[in-house]
Amino acid sequence: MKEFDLLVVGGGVNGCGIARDAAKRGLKVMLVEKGDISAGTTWGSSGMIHGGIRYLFSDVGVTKLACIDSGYIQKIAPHMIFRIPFIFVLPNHTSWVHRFIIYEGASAVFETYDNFAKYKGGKPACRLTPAEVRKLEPLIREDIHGGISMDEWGIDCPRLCLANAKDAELNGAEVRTHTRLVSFIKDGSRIVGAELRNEVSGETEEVKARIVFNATGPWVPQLAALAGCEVKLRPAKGVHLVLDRRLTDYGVLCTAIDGRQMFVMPHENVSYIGTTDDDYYGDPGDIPVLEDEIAYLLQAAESYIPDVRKARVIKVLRAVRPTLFETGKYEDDLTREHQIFDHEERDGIPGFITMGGGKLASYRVMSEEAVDLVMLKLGKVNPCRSHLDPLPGGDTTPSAEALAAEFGIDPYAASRVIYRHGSWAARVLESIKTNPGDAYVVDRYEPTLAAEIRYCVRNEWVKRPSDLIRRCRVGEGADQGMASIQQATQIFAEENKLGPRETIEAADDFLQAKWFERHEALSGVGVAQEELSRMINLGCWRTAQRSRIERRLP
Amino acid sequence: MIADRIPYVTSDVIVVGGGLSGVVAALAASDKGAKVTLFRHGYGRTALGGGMFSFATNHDGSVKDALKSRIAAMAKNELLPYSQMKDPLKSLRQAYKLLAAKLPADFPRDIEEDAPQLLCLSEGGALLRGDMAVPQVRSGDLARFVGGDVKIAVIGFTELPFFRPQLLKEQWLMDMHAAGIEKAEIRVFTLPMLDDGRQTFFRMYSEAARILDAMNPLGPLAERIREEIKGFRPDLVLFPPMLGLARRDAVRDMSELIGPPCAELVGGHQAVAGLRFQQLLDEILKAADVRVVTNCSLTGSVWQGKKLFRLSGLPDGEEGNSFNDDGVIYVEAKSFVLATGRFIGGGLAEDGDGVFETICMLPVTYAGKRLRGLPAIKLVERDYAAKHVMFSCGIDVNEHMQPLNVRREAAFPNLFACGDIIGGYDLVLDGCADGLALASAYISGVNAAGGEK
Ligand SMILES: Cc1cc2nc3c(=O)[nH]c(=O)nc-3n(C[C@H](O)[C@H](O)[C@H](O)COP(=O)(O)OP(=O)(O)OC[C@H]3O[C@@H](n4cnc5c(N)ncnc54)[C@H](O)[C@@H]3O)c2cc1C
Repeated sequence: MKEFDLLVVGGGVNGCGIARDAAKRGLKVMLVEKGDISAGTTWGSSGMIHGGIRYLFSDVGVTKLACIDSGYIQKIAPHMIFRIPFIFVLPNHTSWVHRFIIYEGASAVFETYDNFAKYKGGKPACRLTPAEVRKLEPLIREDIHGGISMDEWGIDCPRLCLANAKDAELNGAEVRTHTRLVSFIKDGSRIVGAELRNEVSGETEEVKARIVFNATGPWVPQLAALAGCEVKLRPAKGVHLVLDRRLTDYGVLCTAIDGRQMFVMPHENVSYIGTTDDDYYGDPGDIPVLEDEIAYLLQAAESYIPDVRKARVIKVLRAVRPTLFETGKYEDDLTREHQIFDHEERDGIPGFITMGGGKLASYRVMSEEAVDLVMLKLGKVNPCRSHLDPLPGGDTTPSAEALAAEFGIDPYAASRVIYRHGSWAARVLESIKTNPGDAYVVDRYEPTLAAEIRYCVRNEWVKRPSDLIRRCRVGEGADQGMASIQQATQIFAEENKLGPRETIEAADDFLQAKWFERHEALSGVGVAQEELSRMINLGCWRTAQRSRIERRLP
Repeated sequence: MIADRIPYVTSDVIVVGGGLSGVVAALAASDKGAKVTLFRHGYGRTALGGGMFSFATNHDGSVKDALKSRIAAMAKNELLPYSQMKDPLKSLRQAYKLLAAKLPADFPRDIEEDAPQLLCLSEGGALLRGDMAVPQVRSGDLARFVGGDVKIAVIGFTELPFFRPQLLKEQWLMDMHAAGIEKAEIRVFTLPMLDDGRQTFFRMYSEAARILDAMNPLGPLAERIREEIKGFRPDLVLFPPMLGLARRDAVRDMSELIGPPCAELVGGHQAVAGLRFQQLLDEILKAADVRVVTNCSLTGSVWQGKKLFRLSGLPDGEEGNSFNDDGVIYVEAKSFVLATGRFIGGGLAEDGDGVFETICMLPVTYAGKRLRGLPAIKLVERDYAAKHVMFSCGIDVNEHMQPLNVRREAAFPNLFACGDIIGGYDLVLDGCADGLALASAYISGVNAAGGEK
């Protein structure tokens, strides 16, 4: 039986952050994730390394912490961060008193926020006239009172998780994806290990661990229950619509019909409209999206950007915020502050720790705090270095032109590889030297090269081809993988030496994973595209039908 | 004859849509002596498909199990509109004969009930059965080799890196095994298509097809292929679906130059066989006595009394200025045929408030239920490969192929419909859409021209 100092459960941003920090401090670490790295709440987040201006009213602590840590993240992973300038649009209220209050009130908030901005390196807020707003973002409606600008930062969440997991591995950790913790091994009340099940092969394995860390986001209560204690969350479902294009260059902050703050914001090569925030007590792994939620988001966006419906919703991101339990508050006011539960003190279960709540933006500092406690428990003292040492690929940023010339690829494609892999980009493209066909663009919307897919399959724990969605954005573009899923699956099959049956099943799994993300949002010309996609994928490849034929074989 | 600028069109019969069903409807009406004008706007499923067509249903059964039994099944079929037709087989045959008379000689002239189905390998590795295919695809018919040992050489080109014959080989063998073809041997040969040492990749098969079109003569390439496969002595040489777009004799030339019969695989989103078939249809129209208008999309309809009176539309692009003052084009005829397809073709659309028919606002239904007002989310399942209402719906017709209105009567006495726009079956899963297109087109065309005399 393998033995570890620390078994981290959950491959979201927190689990990956904890695994990295702990491994860097010399612990023997294992990270297990039941699905894919970053496929939980982290995949459904807005991907903003922001200070959380909306928490300024309810929790200044969250804002400050997030701003400080946002600065660190920019230092350790500069390649995967992009600036998102925002415009807070001030609507044209009928009464001037009302207008005055909003304008002055909002200005005051943004100025306060600016006090923290020095930590995260944003430009200070600035008042804008209606004409200035329209000049910056012509799609915004005309009859507005003005705007205020501010700066935020976006990040590729899965790549952030992967970089953390990779660094953990480089420091000796073992990373297992598609591996679920199914039960705990106990010695009296103490937790001394766990039984793990490989969700792809079905095999189980027992491992020993001195401490098991529950970093399972919205699944925290479930895992705690498995360990024999209770942790309460007030889970809130958050939905984003993803548009087929970058609709605006600026993030546009607006107010929904019920007065909630909403945004339309560019993210990589698409735009997000978000987000809803409703109590949700269903299965965090199977979150349905209702037509009302889609209508609500589109309506809010439309009242500020009248042409929003000219873009097409290509998919719906859904996730559950693992918000800490506090009764009686409105969803929006719930604090994002995190909490670490030492179950030895709290419930008399030594060897088990849980972290709940929190935000992507402060994952690093939360992880630091979590590992501090682990070190204390284990009686070790090595200091944290997670804010000082760059993440893999974060040390230098190579030139896209040089890389493009070296490998004979398009400079834009090269820049995207650099964005995801930083200084490791040349490693990623290496296979082109021996196999020139790897310079081929598999997903033209990103664009993603065959070489990057091959690299990810070899080095980044890709157990199912649908994991590639998060590695290198295959199938994330306007055609949602219509033309690239089969090709990406073929590379996956080649690398894993899959037979025909497994290849077809793998492609089916990929098609189904993408369909699940978009089926609720199917509308307009998207329906025609879907008809074509079915012709190609079901007609020519007969994937699903063939699995059925196969089953009839002796 | 192609007329480019027509502000005002009058005709006996107006056919909207230029895919398989539109062309057959136009030919049928014209054959009955009517003056026909066909409006075509972009390409639909015919052109985007793999170039192989199946008339009945479905993909199961042995190769020898030919049309006969499938057509018998079809007559009992609940599928609309077959279940409406008095004699679906007769309509299908007449439609096919009419079309085949104008197709190149390498298409059979008639549907023979006892003829085996065509058997082709798809680019994706699936073994597909069909009843009609463009020549390049058809000469890949494996049925001819069944029973003996089949030795197949598959040619891969380094310029097409996404076409991975090494990997697909296993899938082909698996599928052939499932279809009862036991003794197949497949060997893959990969070589550069262009011999100039350049590093080139083609994303689309059509790019490779155009290069091949321009490659004159094919000799040097064929010679290199012949060298590669010499030791293997294949019965059949298969190419990716890229054997020339304009040059229809590419496959024959290849066969002559290489030795064994050559063919190409079916399908793929970048395939050229569907486009090639569409080109054939376009040529047939040019030669027939049908006027074709290509630069205008029809979007509205006007009726007078009970009859459909006129369609209106908008010209495409800049050329619109040369149309009427108001930029609208009007189209009048004694009768009209809708052959506008489903979503790809543009016959149906979804606007956030359910599915609708785009020109005459006919009710769109599934299983007799109207779908207007139902959001798309209610018309799809969570399972990708399931049968979705969204992809099986369409308009309803009676036995004369007249679309039904909400009271389930013929909407207009002089309006007919054919092809994919008629709902009741899934275009992909039911595998009978092409037969339905032909049969319904024939009935529509004849009725639009005034019926069987
Ligand atoms: C709509 C929305 C928008 C947001 N936007 C932002 C934002 O812009 N900025 C920001 O800073 N924060 C944002 N957040 C918050 C942020 O996304 C989350 O706080 C953060 O991602 C939580 O990460 P996590 O690692 O705790 O949880 P998760 O990402 O959910 O990770 C938990 C993982 O544990 C795994 N797991 C569960 N049970 C088991 C088991 N038994 N065995 C093995 N593995 C298991 C799950 O599969 C999952 O992958 C947003 C949240 C939502 C919902």
